[in-house]
Amino acid sequence: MMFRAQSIFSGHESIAPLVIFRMLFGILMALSTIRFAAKGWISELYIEPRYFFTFYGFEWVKPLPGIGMYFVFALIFISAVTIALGWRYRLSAIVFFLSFTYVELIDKTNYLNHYYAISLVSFLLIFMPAHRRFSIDSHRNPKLFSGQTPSWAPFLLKFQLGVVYFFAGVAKLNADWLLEAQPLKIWLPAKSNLPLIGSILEEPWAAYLLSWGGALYDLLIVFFLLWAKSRPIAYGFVVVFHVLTYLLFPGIGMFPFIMVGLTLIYFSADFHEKVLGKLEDLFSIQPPVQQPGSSSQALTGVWRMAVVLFVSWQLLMPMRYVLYPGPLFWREEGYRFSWRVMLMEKAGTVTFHVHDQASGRKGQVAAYEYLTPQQEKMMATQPDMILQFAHFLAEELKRKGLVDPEIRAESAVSLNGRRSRPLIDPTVNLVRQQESFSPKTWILPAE
Amino acid sequence: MQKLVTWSLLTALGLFIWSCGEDDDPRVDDNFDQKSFLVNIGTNLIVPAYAELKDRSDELYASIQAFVATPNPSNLEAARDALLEARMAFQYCAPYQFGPAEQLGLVADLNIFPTDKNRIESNILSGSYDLKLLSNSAAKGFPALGYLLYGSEKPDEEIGNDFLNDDRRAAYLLDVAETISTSAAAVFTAWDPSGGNYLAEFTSDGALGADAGSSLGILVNALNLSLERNTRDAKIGIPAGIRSLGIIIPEATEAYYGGYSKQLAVANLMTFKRLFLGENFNGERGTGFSDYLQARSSVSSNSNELSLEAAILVEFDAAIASLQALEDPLSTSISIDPAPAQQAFAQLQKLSVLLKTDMASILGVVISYQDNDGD
Repeated sequence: MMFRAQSIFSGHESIAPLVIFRMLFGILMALSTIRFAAKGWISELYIEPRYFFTFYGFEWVKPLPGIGMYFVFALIFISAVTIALGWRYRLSAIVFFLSFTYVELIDKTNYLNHYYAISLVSFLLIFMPAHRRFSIDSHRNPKLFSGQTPSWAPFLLKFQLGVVYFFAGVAKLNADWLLEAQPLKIWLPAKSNLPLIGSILEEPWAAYLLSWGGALYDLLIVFFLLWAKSRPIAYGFVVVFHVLTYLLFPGIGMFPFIMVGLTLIYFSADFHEKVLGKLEDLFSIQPPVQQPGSSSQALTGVWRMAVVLFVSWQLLMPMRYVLYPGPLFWREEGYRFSWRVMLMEKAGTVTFHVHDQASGRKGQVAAYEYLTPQQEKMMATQPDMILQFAHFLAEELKRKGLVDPEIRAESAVSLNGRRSRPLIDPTVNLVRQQESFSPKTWILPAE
Repeated sequence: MQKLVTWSLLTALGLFIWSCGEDDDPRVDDNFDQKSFLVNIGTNLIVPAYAELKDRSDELYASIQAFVATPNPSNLEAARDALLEARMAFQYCAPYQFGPAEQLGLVADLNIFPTDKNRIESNILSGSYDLKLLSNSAAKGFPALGYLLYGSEKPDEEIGNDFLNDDRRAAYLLDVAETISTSAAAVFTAWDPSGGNYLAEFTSDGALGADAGSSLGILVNALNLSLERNTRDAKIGIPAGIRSLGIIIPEATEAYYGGYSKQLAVANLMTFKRLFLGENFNGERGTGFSDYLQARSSVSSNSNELSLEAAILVEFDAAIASLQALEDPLSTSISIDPAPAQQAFAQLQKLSVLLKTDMASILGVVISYQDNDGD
């Protein structure tokens, strides 16, 4: 399959893949939201913590007080359902994108790459005519119906999913992953209780096999999904790969199922037409006969520019780490928003030394006095979060009467099974350091 | 290239089909037998520890009953001895505050300190109280008994009279001792193979692995939580002023009235060391964390450094020595010179880092007392 700029910007194709994508996305998001709520995470992650680690530039994002966050999740759920149904589709997509992204911006503790992917996909869906067939909107307003979509819409979705896989593969091209088979050499033996394969997972070759297999899968799967000949077997591997990751790492939650559902977009128009035709028969819907290409025109210049900008941003964002001194896994500058999934075993401890020059008082603060265990765990390995907490702590201590507390971090971080060592320079008063996009001078070398 | 992909993906498919097979065969494990590790810890360490706590708590209750019946100095002395024995037995259970102990709220019933003497006195005065209430956690347990049996300025001969002359005071003493005995017995019964048999759950095939909810995951999280918050902070850091910007809090020591806080701390940390080695009360070694780490050491092969299990033992011994260097009564010695306690805190911190970061990481256990998704 070829993506020629001209056909992307002015071409048309069957709308069926886009319509099915819309429904699957809505259904998967609705199920994910139910699961999230059922696990009690709304309260645990967005109501109970007394401090939230906001993203740089988004410090103004705060959770709603009281039961407000339950309403936000209700909005996410309802808009996911109405996206699936195609009812007031554009409004639904806007509400979903805004409410979901708002929740993700509250606390970087809960950052997951697939949440970022969901935000991006829902943003793209706002602009796409995914409601023009097999939807309540097109049922109530037959003029809306279209059998065709401009080609840029399915292209962008395939591009976005392709970016997720491809950069996840690129991220695996590092010495620990390929040469040491880390972190799988740690993670796989921990699953040695699994029936039958358990003892195999303790073998070093299993870690190497799955490291190399996983890297090749991520790098290449998109191309095999794009190529019609290899597509059915490639999709078989998508299913097997994601089920396997789910069995080995149940902690990755809904991600495998989301990818198994959404990668169906790579299938041919014929395939989706058949499925959609059956669905329409089931609901006795007669799609009106329509002249191809009559419903929409080619993209205007501004929108073409927007598509080019989005694509460039997606290609450059994961590579921004090259602007930092590294090592990336140790310093984590340019780590997020780059599809680095299940890449490293990193654990740490951090305690904060407080010294108030004015009163001469000294002591230590344990983060658990202020943070949830999950927040504490995530903070302990990520310098930007340690800095944020130090600033928060300084404010807390000032409220308790200290004038100008100095705060230094005593940290120990273990990366991919190496012996732990200090991450943060323990002599630096973090209160005097500010967050920025510049490299952090107070991170100690990894070895 | 395509062949390579096909080949590796086919292998993944093969692994997947295998993993979906029947699971009636117990797994054969080449490197480390996690089951025998859990069986040793559960059978030879945890259950005997809770049995000891139950026995010592029963004896404590009996000696308190004897003292209330005849409040003379020798019965007071016997009750105090029984209290110390029971408190030592509680230290042997310190790393195991999960499962039944967590569900039944063992710590809240037995060992919330510092104790709240005002609340105790007002409970005694009113004569109507419910020791089950959370708000009474600091008015019961061993620390409350410590206050009642040691807390008076009077000579021992007269302490007995306080209970002889005040039925409500005697009744409160009995109630607190009974609550301890009941709670300790309930936790033991829950573990006991002839009772609730949580031991079977702890060592079952379904609880193997390292995920959240596996026995290993629960144990590693519980021992780290206890070592960090209880041993390091509650026993040493808080009284020594480390958590209060240098303000010493002598009455926050564990056995403020009994005066043997250091003795309890040493016994506590030795329990963690025994758990690490898989060693029972009689010093007999079984499979422990050190063996587990040894089996997993291939993941961090650096010949220049001490193996992790050896490094942890070094820190255990240094931390135990730093606790032994303290002086009882700890409340007095830290007021005179907090430096040794601060050193002990620093040693406990070093130990805690290795257990919480390095050991947990190598074993593939996530330290998080919460359930969550990750990537």
